[in-house]
Amino acid sequence: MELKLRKAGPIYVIDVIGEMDLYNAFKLKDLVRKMVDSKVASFILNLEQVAYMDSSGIGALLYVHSELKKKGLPLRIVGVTGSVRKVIELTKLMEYFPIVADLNTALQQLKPRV
Amino acid sequence: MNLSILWAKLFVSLSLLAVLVALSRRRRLPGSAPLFALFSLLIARDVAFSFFPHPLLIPLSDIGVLALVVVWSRVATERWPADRIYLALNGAFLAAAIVLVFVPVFTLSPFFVGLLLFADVIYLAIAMGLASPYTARNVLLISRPRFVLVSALFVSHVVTLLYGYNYPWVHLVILPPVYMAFFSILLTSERFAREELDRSIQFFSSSLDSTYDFMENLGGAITAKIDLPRVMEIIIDSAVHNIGADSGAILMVDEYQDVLRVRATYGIYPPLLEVPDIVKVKASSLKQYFSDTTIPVGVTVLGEAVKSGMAIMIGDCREDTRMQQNSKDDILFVSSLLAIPLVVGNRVLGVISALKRAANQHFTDEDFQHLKTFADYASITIDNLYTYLEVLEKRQMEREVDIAAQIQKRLLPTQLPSLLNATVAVHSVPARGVSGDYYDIIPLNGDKVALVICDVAGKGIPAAMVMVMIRSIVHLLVGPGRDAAATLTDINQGITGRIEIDHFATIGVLIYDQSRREAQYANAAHLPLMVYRRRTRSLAKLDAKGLPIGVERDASYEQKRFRVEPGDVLVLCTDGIIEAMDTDGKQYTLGRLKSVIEKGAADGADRLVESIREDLSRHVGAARQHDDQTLMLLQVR
Repeated sequence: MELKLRKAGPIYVIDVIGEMDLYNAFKLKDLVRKMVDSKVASFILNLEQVAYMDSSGIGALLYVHSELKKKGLPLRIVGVTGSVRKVIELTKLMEYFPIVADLNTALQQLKPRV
Repeated sequence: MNLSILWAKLFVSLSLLAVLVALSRRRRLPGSAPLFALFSLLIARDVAFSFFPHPLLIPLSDIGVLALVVVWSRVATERWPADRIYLALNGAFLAAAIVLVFVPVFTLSPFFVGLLLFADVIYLAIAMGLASPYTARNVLLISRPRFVLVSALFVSHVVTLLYGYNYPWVHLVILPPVYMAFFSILLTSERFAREELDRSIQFFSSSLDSTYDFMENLGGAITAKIDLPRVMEIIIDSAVHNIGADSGAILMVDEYQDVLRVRATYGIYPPLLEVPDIVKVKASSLKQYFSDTTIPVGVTVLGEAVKSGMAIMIGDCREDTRMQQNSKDDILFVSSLLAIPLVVGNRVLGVISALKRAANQHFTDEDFQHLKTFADYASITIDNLYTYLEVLEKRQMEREVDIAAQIQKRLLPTQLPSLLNATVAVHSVPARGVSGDYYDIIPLNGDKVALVICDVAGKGIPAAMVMVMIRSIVHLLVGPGRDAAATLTDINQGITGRIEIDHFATIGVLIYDQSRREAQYANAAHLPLMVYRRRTRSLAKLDAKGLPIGVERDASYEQKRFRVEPGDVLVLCTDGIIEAMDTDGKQYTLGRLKSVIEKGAADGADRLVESIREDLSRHVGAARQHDDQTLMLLQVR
């Protein structure tokens, strides 16, 4: 798994690329922990390029979601399609996660109001 | 011509010759060649004077002597442009004078030549007087003998200007001190050259020593326990000492972003960017500030080295616009900088940088080469460590998973209970080393039995511990008085917040009341229950709403309650069954399971499980099992 960071103003987009499984799901947790420590305030997780996700991947998503919720920081998850969508549906978490249709919608929702 | 002058000249010439022969037997050192030429010139002209005492011989040859002094001092001071004018003017004059000696258009007076020589001495006095640490490579070489040399030249030229060369005392008393002065600078110059040679020999041997030290320290840090920060510290310490820098830093490219992060520093490495005034007050806060800031790739000299992959040397920071920030006379001052990217293959891992901070202390090309060699070695070391740590981490994880598998194996029921009017059968195969499934069959008071199937996310010790917790709570909670949904609600409340959220679990709970032939089913996001009706000979999914366990403390669970008849089959399974893959990666699918059950339901629970197992292995073939497979079924009699 590879994680890439992009920035749109104050919003950080994390592109998750490859497999999200037992052996590397912790990387996402570590990254988000570090970003929270360095005062990043808005997160978008882009799962569009995730080839495979197991329950550890879901675990990492749950962790990120709950960690940011505790801190009151907004999160959107985008690119939930194919096998990733199936796994999330199986665990009945589609409604639980803040999933939105695409990146633009997510950016729109998180844009700071002036 | 007075005979005693000739004797005097011969005496001086012979002693000079003796000195020169003695000196030339030693190894010749660079820088003193002009002085040897000078002595040869003196001897030649004194011998010539003994035979042809032409009044212009000594003054004209003195032009050459002084020119050689200028050439020699140039080696130490680098005042070349002014010297070039001096040499050109004197050369032109000398040429003109020699032509006049042979073609006497008019007679050149020795006094006139003496005046020029006097001017030359003054030039030499000024030039040598100006030599300072800023203009001279080796100022001591000039400053030590300059007073004696200039005074001797001055006195001798004033005297000869007034009295000429026709008195023996001029040759015996006035000229020899000048010779002695030349002789003393030759000795000084020799001594300095020798010391410099010794220093450079020492430098090489010490840098060799520090490279060995570095390898030894590094070896220690690696074998004991891999401590990457410590390794980085050792690298930068050794690098700084190796090239005699004042401070240094290692910055690595961030794993996720195109920025550099400070990994180790030695001494005070001031940031190369604008710094808030408050930070400049204390050296310690400056150090902290530098360690905390990230530098985007491409920004500052360090970022530039990483972006381009090229080593950078800034000899004098005051002359480089990139270093403006650090050229002012404050705590940020940097005199000279080296920045070498740490490259392995075509990947730039980071940058190692060293500074000289004392004014006028500059890195040499030699230092630059040293640090480059050092950086090569350091990059390979760091890269190997990174790879090694990754492998180690994976190995550790696999070991944990194996231990966890041992724990889990003991949690599973060893034998199936026999029930009044139902048969339970189980197929369960954990994937090698990786186990996340848990199932249980718990007879309750009265005629009830609870079937629990569970899948904990993540593997290893933490997942196994979650499983132990769930098992304990399940055994504690399920009882005749509590229905399936209440059981899940209580498990969830007991566990949420006590476990890491990423070890969430999906659980299906089926409670079967034998006497009333009634079942309750609640589900925390596990695969739905499958119900086979003997009457319709068909299998249907039955699901109940609910979030996984461990996600939300206040989650509520739906409960489905339904009656069953003899011959009906209730099936619980994990996704390892449905997603079992064959060699082409094709999944087993629910449809195929359904048809096997529908076909074999009449054969009884044990036979049915057997046919499912057979069909599964037919499908999987030689493919490796990726996930645990657990299937549990209860057939009503």
